[in-house]
Amino acid sequence: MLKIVDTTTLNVNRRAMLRGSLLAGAVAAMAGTAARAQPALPRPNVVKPRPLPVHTVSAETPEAKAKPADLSGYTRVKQQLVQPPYAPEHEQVATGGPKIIEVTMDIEEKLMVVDEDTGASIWALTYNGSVPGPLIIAHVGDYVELTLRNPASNAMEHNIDFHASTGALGGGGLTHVFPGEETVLRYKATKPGVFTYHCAPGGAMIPYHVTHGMNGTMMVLPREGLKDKDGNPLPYDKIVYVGEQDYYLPRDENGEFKTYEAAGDDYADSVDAMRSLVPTHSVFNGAAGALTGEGAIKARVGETVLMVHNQANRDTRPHLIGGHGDYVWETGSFGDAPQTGLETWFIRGGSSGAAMYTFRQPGVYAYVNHNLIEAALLGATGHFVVEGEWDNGLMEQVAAPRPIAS
Amino acid sequence: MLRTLASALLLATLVGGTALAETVEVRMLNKSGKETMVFEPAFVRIAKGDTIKFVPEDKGHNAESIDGMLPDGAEPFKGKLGKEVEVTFVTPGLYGVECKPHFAMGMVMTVAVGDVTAAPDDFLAGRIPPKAKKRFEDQLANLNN
Repeated sequence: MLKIVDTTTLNVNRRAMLRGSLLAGAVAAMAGTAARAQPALPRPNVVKPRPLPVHTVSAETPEAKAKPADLSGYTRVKQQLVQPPYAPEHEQVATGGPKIIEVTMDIEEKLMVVDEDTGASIWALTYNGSVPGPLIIAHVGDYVELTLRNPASNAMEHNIDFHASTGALGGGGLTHVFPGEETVLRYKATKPGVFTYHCAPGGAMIPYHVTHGMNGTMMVLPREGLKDKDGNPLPYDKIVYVGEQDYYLPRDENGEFKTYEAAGDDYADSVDAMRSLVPTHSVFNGAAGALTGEGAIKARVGETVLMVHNQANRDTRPHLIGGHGDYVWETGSFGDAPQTGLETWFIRGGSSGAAMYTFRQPGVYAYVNHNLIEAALLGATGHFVVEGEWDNGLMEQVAAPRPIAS
Repeated sequence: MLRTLASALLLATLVGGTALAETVEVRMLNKSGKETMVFEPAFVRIAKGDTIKFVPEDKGHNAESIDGMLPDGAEPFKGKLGKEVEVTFVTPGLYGVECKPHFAMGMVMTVAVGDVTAAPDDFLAGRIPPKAKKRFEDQLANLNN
């Protein structure tokens, strides 16, 4: 009868992250009491996770005592976010002084079909209703001012961690919103590059939210635009924004994908499925086939496309079949010179990368994760359909397939 | 086993007076009447040394103490998802308990240990989802009954 639960001090710290700094005092007090074990009660033999130092996850509201930011000289502008694979209207080379870019994201928990062939579906957790969340674009030195809204119709708590930002767990510590709440976060874009953002409510909820679609890219351009290693400008004609999403969908005893009545109902099953580390799907822009057929991206010969690729959770290796990466910022940092002429590039899990290509031939190009099992069986394939004149100087079918001459 | 027995005896001695501690069962449900995601009962008063057995009748629930919502000196606890768990309450006072995945949906309960008749002033001072706060307020109304 006198069993005692397996308490973990990690729990204390996770909750501390969850509450941000509001309960810093209480957390510190509790960390103290947690160390005083209750006497002589039997405990299961569990390996206790190493407690995180409390000061790394909570603080005595330093932001409350801080000086107000000096926003003089900044101009406020609104950025209208759009659905992937499109990019919001933006300047490549910044004109005028630094800006405060206002964006709004509404969190939407929604049932999405992942694969029409099998009917596999997921209660996706989304920023603005799409997987990935919308692309946000600023220049170095600008502020991003995000209004994050969690409508009362949602079931879960959410927040946002911007890898492009500095402090407070990427803003995650300051943006926890329960259903019916909204919050506003302003941060300075200090590093040039493409950066992942994602939801991170705490503990196992972090991978749960991220593998349910709650991630996207923040792009911070150098004020003078993109450049090659010699400083020559590298303008693009358009951006194609791809979010690669690994899903871990629970199956029933017959191996069929399970269905759920509401967002969050799959939590316990999903935690089990995620532990395998083996995704059931790895798709571009939310669902298998989202960027093929009618969703294929159109381009023209001579057009320069910047392909922004986000993978918030898992390594991937984009490859443009029939083309190249003319200029590739594999790690996503625009502060480094781009690599040139790549066949395949590597996007580390938890990051975004960018590759620029000018199409030279018409036809269909497949844009894939070149783990081809993932491309063909798990869904990681998109298509570019390119119009224009064929260049025999680059390639020519000298003889159409015919019986072998004897 | 011997250790368990010894602990039981020790605890019984420490508690004193009451020879046998009781165990109260709390069910964790997706639905109960018009309400969804609930602990049932949602308010429990027990004596120091009593145990609550949390039973996840529907899968996907757990029971854990909420930071800032337990008495000074009490040890936090955390049950595993979908697993039954028994918690013995040795420190008198008021405890807020949540189901982790359904906290935002208001899945909380209150445990009163001993003769506590009023909630500490800061009991609801932390960040609590609006729906959970409403349910806590309803639960705390039982304190004087």
